Amino acid sequence: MKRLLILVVLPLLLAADQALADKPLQVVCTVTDLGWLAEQVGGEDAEVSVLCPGEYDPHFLPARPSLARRLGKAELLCYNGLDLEVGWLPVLLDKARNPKVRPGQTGDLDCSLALEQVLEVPVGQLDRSQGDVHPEGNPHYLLDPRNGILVAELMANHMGHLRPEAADRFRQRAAALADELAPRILAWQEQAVPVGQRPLVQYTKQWEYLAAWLGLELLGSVEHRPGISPSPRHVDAIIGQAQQEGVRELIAAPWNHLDVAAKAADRMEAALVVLPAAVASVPEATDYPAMFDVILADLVAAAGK
Amino acid sequence: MRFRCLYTLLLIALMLPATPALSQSSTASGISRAFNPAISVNTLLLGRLADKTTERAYNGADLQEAEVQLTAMVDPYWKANLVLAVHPEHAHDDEEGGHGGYAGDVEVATIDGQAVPGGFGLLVGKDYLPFGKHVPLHTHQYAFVDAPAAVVTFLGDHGLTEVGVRLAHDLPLPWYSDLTAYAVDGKSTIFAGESRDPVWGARWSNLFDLSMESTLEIGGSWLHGPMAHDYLLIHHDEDLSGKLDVWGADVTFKWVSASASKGPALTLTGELILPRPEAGAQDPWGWYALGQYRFLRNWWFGLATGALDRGLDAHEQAEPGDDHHGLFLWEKVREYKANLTWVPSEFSAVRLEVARYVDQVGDADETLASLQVNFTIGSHPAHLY
Repeated sequence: MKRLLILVVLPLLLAADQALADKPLQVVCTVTDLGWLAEQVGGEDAEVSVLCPGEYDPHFLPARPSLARRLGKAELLCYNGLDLEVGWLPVLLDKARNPKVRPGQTGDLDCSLALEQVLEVPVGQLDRSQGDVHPEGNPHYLLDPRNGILVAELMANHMGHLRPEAADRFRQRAAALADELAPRILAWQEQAVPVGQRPLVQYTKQWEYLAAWLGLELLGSVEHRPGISPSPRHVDAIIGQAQQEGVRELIAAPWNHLDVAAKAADRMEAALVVLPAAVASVPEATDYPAMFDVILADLVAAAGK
Repeated sequence: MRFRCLYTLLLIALMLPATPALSQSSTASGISRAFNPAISVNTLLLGRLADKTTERAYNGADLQEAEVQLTAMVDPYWKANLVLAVHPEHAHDDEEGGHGGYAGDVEVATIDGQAVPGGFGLLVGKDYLPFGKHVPLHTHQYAFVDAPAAVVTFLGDHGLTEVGVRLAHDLPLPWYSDLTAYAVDGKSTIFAGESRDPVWGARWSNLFDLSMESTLEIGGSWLHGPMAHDYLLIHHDEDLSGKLDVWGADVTFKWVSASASKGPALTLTGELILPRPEAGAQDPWGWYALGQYRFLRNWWFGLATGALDRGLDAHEQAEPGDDHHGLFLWEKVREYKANLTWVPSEFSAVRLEVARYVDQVGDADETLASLQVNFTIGSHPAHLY
C-alpha cells in the first residue's frame, strides 16, 4: 500500500513542482520605469504588470482595489522605495492579502537598495512645515540611467532566488541590458554638454538625479516645498534669481501644474520644457531608453533656441 | 458614563508603555525606538451658527473630535490598529443634561491577519462595521460635517463600531468583487446590548474600472441582530423586542484626472438604507446622495441631499413642538448641504458648510452654518480608495 502511495503521490508532487517552475514569475512593479526594467530582465521567464500608469504622478495614484487584486497574485513586488509610493502602496498591500509580497518577505523588493548613493537625504530637524519631504532621500533616482542598470542587476538576483532554474538567464539579460545602455549613456552625456552652459529652474524637486548625472546646475524650484503650492513671495524670489542668472529653461514633469509653471516661465523669460519623468508619461517615451532620448532631445532643442 | 470612558482611556494609556516592557526588552530599555507604533493625531474643530439652539445645532465653537491612532506590526502574523477618540459628550448621555465635558471612546482596536492562507482577510477586534459607504468612515473622512440623516437615524449616532471577527475574500469574478462576512457583539444604540445573540452581517462590493481614470463601485450590505428596545421610536414609550435586519445598497462613481498631481477629481455617491425591524416601525427607508468636485488643486466643492421616513404609525408619530435636541429625531426629513473645502495639504483642511433640514411632518426645520478645521499630525496611515 505504501509503495502504491509513493508511486502515485510522488509523481504528482514532482509534476506540481515542475509546473510551478515552468510558470513565468509573476512580477508586479509600482512604476513604469521599473516595469520596463523587469520585463528586460525577466524576459519569457516573467510576466510583468505595472500598478501606476505613466500618466499619473506616482506620489498620488488613487489606490483602486482592482490594483490590489493584481498585487494579490504577485510572487515579486518591485517598488521604487524612499517613500515614493507611501500614499498608496501600504493600502494596496493590506487589501491584496498576499503574504508573499508583504514587507520583509521573499517577494518584497525595494529597488532603492540597489543605489550606491541616495541624494538629498535630509539632515537636521525634519517636519511637515517643509512639505512632503522624503525622510530617506530623493526618490527620483530612475532619472539617472546608471541607476537603472543597478536596479536591473538587483532584480536579476532577486528573481534568481525565486526561480533558481532561470537565475542564469536573469543575470545574462541584466548584463545584456547594461551593455546596451552603457554606450547610450555616454552618448546622452555628450549630447547634454550644451545644456550645462546655463543653470535651469525646475518646477518641483524631481530632476536632481538627472542633473547630477549630466552635470546640470539646478538653480532652484518654483514649488520649493514639495507638494505645497508655492507662495507668491517665493515665486517672485526665484524669478528674480533666474533673471539674474540668465536662466532660459524651466523644466517640469507632465503632471506638474503646468499653468503655474507656464506663468513662472513667462515671467522669467524662459521656456517651459515639459520632460517625461517616467516611461509612458508622454507618448514618445515608449520605453526607458526612449525616455532619455526625449529628455535629451527636448533639453538640447530648448538650449539651442 | 463620562468617568467610565475616561477611566478606560487612562487604563489603556497606562498599559501602552507597560506592554512592551514585558515582551520587548530592546524597546523598553530605550536602546531602539524602531518598534514603536506609527502614531498620529487627527483633530476636528467646529464652529457653528444655527437658527435654533439644540445640542447639535448650537451657536459657538467646540472640539468636534480628536482621534489618536497607533498602528504597528505585532509579530509576523498580526498588524494592530488602535484608535482612541475624544468628543463632546452628548446631552442624552449626561444625567445633568447639557454639554459640559468630553468623553473618550475606543473606536478601533483590531488585529489584522498578515499570513492568512488562501487570500482570506481576517480581522479580529473592535472596528466600524462594513455596512455601505458611510458607516466605515472616521469623522475626519466625512465629505460633510455631519453624517447623512439616514445613516445617523437608522444605524446610530455613535457610529457602528463593534467587537467581533470578520472574514473577507476576493471572489473569482472578472471584476474586483470582495465579499466580507462578520459576526460581532452588538453594543451600539440600534442593538439590544444585553442580548446574547450576535449580530451577523455581510457586505458585497464590486468595483469596475471604467477607464484608467474612473471607476464604478456597486455594493450591497446586510446586517441582522437583536433590535434595540426603542429602535426608531420617538416617544420611547414602547418596549420593543425582536430582530432587526438592515439592508443597504450603494453606488459610487469616481474620476481622478491624471492630467496633474491633485488635478480635477469627482466623486458621486448614492446610498439606500432599508431597515426591517420585527416590531415598531413599518418599512422605514432612507437615502442620501452626494457629490464632491476638486476644481482647483487645493479646493473642493460639495453638494448633498437625502431623505428618510421612519415608517411610524400614528401612535408613534412626531408632533408639532417635539423637542429634537438635535439628535435627528425627525420622523420624515429632507436634507440639503453645500460646502467649500480648502485643502492646502494632505494634513489639513478648512471647510465652510451650509446645511438645511426640512421637517416633513412637524415644524422642526433647521439651518446650520459650519466652519470646520481639520488637521493631522504624525504618521497617519493612507486612507482606503
